[in-house]
Amino acid sequence: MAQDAYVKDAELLSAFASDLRETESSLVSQVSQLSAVTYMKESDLRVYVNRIEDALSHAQARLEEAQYEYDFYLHHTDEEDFSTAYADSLRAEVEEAERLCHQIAEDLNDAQYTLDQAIFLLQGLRSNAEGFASRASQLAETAAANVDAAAFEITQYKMIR
Amino acid sequence: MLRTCIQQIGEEVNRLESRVAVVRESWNDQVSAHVEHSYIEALSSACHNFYSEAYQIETTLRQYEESLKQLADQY
Repeated sequence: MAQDAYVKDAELLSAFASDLRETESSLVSQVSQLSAVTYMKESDLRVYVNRIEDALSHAQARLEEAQYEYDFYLHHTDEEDFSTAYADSLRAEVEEAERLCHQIAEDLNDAQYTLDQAIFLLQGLRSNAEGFASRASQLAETAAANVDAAAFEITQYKMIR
Repeated sequence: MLRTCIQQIGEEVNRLESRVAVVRESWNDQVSAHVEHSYIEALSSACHNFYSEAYQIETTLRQYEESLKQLADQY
């Protein structure tokens, strides 16, 4: 092999070793960013559940209010002023508020289950990412060291010749 | 954002494979098959596996997010 070719090989390998180290650095950095983003995603998903929890709180407050209005009308209205139709309408409001509470509670239950599943996946992703970063780093560094050694050997060989 | 991060890792994997392909053209005895098989291919494979797994997880997470959004948007 001509000396120029040895030099070219050695340079190519040295550059490749640098590339491997850059790749390692880039992957570690990207995995770290990915891990941070999984926490952000977890927060984003919790917001949906919080919105449903808020809706349930409002619905429960509305139910208490409707129940109070109905009970108050039943127990504090004079017989001559009492309207069965109005009492029925108040009762209907209580039933509607109960229905809504029940519906939101079911949706909240579904949302909480979905959130738990999502969090499980996000935790798994973080865990895999940590394992991957560690393995990729080790492999890239070892490969780069071996490639560097090969480049060095080529250079030495050229010098001996 | 999560998908962007995963895509960036995928791009890095592609870049790595392109670099390996260039060097493989001039691969000689100085860089033994041992290095290529034990480290570089293992690295490439680890990158691919992680990328593929992360992409699948992200796709499932999108479905979960869509379900949560639909539930929350009712209120």
